[in-house]
Amino acid sequence: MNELAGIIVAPLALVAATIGWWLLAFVPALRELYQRSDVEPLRVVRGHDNDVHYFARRFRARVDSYLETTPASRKKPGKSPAKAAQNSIHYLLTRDDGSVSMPAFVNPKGSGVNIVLAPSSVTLPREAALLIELFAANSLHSGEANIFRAILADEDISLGKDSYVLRWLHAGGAIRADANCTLYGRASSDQLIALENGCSFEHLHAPRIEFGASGKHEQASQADLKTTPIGPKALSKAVEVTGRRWLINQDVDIPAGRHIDADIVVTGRLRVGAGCHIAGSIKGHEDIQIDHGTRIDGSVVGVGNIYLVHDCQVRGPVLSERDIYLGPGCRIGTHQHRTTMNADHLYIAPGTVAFGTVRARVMGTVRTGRAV
Amino acid sequence: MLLTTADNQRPPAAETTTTSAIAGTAPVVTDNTPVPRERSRAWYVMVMLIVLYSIVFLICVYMIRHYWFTLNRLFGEQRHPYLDVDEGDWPTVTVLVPAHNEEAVIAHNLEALLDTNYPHDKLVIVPVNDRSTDRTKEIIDDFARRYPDNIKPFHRTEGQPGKSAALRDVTETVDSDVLLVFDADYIPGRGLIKQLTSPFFDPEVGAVMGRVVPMNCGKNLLTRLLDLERAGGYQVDQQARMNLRLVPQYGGTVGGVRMAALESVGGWREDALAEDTEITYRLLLAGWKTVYQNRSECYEEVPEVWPVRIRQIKRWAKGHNQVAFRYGFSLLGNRRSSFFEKLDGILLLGVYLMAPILMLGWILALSLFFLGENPFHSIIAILSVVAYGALGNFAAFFEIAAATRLDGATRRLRLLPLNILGFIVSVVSITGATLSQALPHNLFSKKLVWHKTERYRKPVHKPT
Repeated sequence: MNELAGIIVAPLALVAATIGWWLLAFVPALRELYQRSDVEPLRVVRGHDNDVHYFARRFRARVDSYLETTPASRKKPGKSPAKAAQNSIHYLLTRDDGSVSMPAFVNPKGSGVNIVLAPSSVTLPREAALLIELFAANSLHSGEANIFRAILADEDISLGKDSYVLRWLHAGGAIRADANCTLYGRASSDQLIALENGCSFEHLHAPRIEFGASGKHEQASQADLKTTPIGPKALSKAVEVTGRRWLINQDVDIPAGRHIDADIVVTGRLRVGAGCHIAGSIKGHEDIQIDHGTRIDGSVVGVGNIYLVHDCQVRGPVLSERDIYLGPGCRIGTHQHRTTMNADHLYIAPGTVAFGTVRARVMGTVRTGRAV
Repeated sequence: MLLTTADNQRPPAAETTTTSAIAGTAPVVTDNTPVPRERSRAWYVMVMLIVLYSIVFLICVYMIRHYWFTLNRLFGEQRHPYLDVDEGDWPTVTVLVPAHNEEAVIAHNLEALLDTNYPHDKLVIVPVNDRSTDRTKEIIDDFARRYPDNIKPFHRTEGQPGKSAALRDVTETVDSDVLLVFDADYIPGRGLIKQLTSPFFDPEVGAVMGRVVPMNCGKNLLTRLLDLERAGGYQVDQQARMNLRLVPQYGGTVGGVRMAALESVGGWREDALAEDTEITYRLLLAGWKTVYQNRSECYEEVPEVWPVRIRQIKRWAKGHNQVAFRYGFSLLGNRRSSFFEKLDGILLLGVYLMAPILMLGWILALSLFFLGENPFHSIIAILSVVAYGALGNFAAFFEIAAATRLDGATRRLRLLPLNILGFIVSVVSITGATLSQALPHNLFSKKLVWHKTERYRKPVHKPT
């Protein structure tokens, strides 16, 4: 009897234990299936359109809602939302002696203040720190070594040297940053951004962006650029021509003063000689060097570093998966054709001008020196 | 279970019966006579073993690929080189919306496309109405009347049916620089057209692909499983291929092609069963790159019932296999592709072929196991089964798990074990599709039909 039980029960127990052990893995799955705790679609923000003004617009709406709060909007007897709102604003006012009514706190937590507001043009003292969003109804002039969390100004913003902006800033007028300022996050202007030598940045957006003393650099005239046309076979024997595209499977050196009416894709290193005119786009799988005085009508796309020696003009986007080095006098985009420059690091010499967006995935720097 | 060995070359003096073959123990010799362990194997056993070894090797290759992709996605450098382009001299774009009986969804799609921030003077939307018998034509014409500059319908009433043929016909009428394609049930976001067009500033890019996100994922078990599967496929698989400069795949919707590139490879092929995979490989062979934009996301509807899902995956399998046979060998000899592009391209082409191979492997492993040649064989058989179950499959599951983590939706990950159900359904469906495709009648048939996936939204548009 015992033997029979052993023969029957033992295998059954083994099978049951195996199935039970296997089903154990399904317990959380079955629980989730019936409890449905995570059934919403993944969030796709339909309104997301890469708008550089996003934070500025939201902050402006917040400021407006604070300022528009009136006693008429009172909802509960005995409590005035208007008063509460007024208490949460700190006004930066210029006193008769020229000093500014700076808030007493540095850390806004627990201060009860949500917004710092400058109702008229104001000039801040040296080493002021405002770690809360600041709205300037007119212009704002910071002192040296100021620190801001974020600034929105209807007119100009000028930052004293060695100042920091930690999150974003936007100006309806111009933004001018003196030497060695650091702009983290987005900086946008409806007119102009001008950064002096030693400034660092992440994301700039304006119709015109000047790096360093751009007006002092005498840019070589390219109106009378004299070039000689060159065909694909003269450039490389390893070229394949497909429509407008020349695909070249080796390193390429384009001699100086040549004109190419094509898009060029090079699987190796690419060097474009001085004074060339490329009436198309270029792409390099390794480093790209563009010598002085060259004009490119399309885009420049590099898997490696991109070097624009000096006085180069690129009308289209300049995109690198590594770093971009720009010598003095380079122009990226035009007034009519705003464009994008984008890389991990950007090293830009004073005298360069860009139109549109300049974005460093890590950090961009204005610094004196040669691109190559 | 007692099994008699099938080996007829065994010495007659040694009458043996193997027992406990499942446990893989040594043969039990009933007359206590020692039996030599070395003996020759039947030829068919040798063939079975070689085939099984090869299949296990293939599984291991795919397993390594899955783990490589997942680890790259979790810890590697992520490439999004065109994501931040928000200003430029934007090219002209035509957005094609193939539609066959899409009255439930077409209005949503057109409204969303009109709401995008792409310069409207460079944007044309072409709903391609292919012989719809519902209100699709009426809805499209109403939009065209209200937005004559931006919506230019293309009504097909004759010609070869099918998406490829429809695309071929309409593409002949397009003179834009870039052609984007959205299925009629997709709802693009405001910045999506710019995001998908920005890679074309790179003169090497021939095609671009965005990410699709299931909108109806909470409907039932199937939609939830497909949601996980899509997450793994896009968030990990496609992005890893982008990171590693391999072969991201153009998926036929939420993506597009450069017209010059398309023309250089001869345009859409009418007889393509999967025009998306087909164009990916033809562009690759011609030296054009396909890029994937993981943050260019768009909602879609996934099948809510199993028969629709089975039809969908069968269609994909047949199309993919067609491309594999057409371009597999060409890719191996292609001098414009790197070694890793070739390797990934071949493995990608083999994805659907792996289903019948996997089934064959299971059959072989079990057959060898029950033939019980000797304990070594049994262990190999068991190992083979374990290799399929634990390594090959789990690698794909690991991808899904990593994807949900990257998406920040970790609670839905608990459903992962149930994905074995979707996996089994897929394997069986794909195997059936592949075998039926191998029949001479189907191999040479040119007959194509519009394979429409059922929509689940209710029609809402009332013409004005």
